[in-house]
Amino acid sequence: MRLTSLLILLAFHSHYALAQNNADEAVEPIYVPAAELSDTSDNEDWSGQFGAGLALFPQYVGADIHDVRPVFEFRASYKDWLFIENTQLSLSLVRSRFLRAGPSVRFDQGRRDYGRLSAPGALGNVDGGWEVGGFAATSLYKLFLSVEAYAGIGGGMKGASAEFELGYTYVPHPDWRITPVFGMVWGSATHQNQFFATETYRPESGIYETYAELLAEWRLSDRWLVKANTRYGGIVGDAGNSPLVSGQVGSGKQIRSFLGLVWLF
Amino acid sequence: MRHPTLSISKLLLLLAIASPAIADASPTTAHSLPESRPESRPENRPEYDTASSKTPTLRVLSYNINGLPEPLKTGKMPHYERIAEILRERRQSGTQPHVVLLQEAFDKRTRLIAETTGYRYIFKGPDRKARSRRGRAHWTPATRKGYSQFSDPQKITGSGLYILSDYPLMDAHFRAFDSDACAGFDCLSNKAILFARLAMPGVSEPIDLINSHFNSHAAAGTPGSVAFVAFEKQSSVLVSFLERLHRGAPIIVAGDFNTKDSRRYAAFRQLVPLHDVAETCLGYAPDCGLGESATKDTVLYDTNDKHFMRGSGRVSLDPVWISRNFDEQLGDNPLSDHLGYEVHYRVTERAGEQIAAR
Repeated sequence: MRLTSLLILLAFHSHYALAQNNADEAVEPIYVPAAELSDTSDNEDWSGQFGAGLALFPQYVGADIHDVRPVFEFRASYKDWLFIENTQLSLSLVRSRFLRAGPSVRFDQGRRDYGRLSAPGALGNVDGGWEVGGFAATSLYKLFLSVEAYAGIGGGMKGASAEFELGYTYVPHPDWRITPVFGMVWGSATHQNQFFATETYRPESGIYETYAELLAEWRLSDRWLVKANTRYGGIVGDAGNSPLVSGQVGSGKQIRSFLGLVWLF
Repeated sequence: MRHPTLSISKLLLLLAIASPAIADASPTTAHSLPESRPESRPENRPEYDTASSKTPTLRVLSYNINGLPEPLKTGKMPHYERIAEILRERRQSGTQPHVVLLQEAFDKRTRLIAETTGYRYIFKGPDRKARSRRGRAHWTPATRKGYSQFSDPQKITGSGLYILSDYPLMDAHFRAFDSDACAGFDCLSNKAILFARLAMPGVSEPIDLINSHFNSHAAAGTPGSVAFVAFEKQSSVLVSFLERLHRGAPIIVAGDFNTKDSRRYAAFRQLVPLHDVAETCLGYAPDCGLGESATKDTVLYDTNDKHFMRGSGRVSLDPVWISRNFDEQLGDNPLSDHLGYEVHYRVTERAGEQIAAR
């Protein structure tokens, strides 16, 4: 083959090859449809937990005496839509990636007079009653933040209150979760008067408790865990100045603890 | 390593030397081979290199492109453009990987790598919404207020996975890891496993492909023991994935498995019944060579990027070349915090009776 023929052939070949390559680049790619390969079942509709253990808590809000008693805890949720927590029921009507919110109702047990409230000017028992309100919660990674607000609708509960909470979960070990929580509770004047007023003292509305809590969970198995938490709170503001808190039978230092076994379902 | 654009004259010269089997030409640079192997093996290389070879070769690139979205990473667009440019240049020279498995293509702009490099078939992994509905998001305390637990995991990014292919991809499936099969910051992305069957011309049965990106180790920002549990769960998911989809065809499993940690590597190998391609290349394949930044360490155990494989009774897969490419700098920065991990497989139809899969 002559050199010129070879060059022509090579030129044609190269032009063809280039055209092919350019055609490849220009081709409209096809996005391949894909199916999800999921496990046969989704999570159960209902999930929740039973807990049993010992709890330490003040005899009443502002008391200087703390009792230790056996307690039971119950929580359940249905499809992340309905939440039951002891005597509280919440519906999550807003369910976005970063926000949950909805109405909530709970029964507050009020305050029981153990005799110490017969101190001068104390108002004695506060009957339990229903409160309605709502909640909003957001979470980002291990950080969570929630607020609940309620107003009394019957029984002994009057006025309005709100609780704000901020927490962050550490996972130091596959079986451990440690969660510090910080929070505060606000109460209307009516609400605070139920718990901190005397015949001569009437608190105004405001934040009446701030607290720090440490929650630890030790996972024993998929279904069982040990839960321990301690919450240290301080009665502050007008409530902290109440004779029921600052007097001889009261204390602004409030401790609530729980240690128990929890079964998850 | 830059791949200059080929001019007509260079292409003519190349064609005069090599074509028509240019598509299966090997990289021209040979780097040092493992100590136990000869530095160069001309007696072996020609079988793969020569234009007359009729044995199909499949080039598969796995590449974690570090495509984190802004503002986590800024100024990445030139990197994506350069990666795409390299792939286009290689296509022009006929040496492009036939299959590209991308990881960490979280940034939507990484799409240009998929769409402008001439690959006809694109399998994009699940986005952040296509997450698994199973598992309990691991970071929430189980006994706190129920509504604040957000058991529906909050994924910030998608899976970051792509399979790009010159050949048809069939029967594509994906599986996002359950919300509790992750640890630390990795939980913010919807990590997953991709599966597809590759219809390679001239091969009598499809080749199964898997691309995945497992939970990171130190970068997860969580204790190693926690990340290890997530890694084990993901490995188990891969095994169950294989059990359901893999039906004995030849298979290539590649990606960023974060198995640089020896404990993880051992766990993975114990669970997943596949051959480590680098071990096969360096230990059992006499005509397998290393190229472009590849050393014994960087293809074997000092890497999170890996290829695993297994042949079938009808088709054998034999690695003939491994390279760690995409090692160039763009300014003062590398293209990615990973190198590419490219393996060229000789795909051989077995003759006669079926023999044990290699």
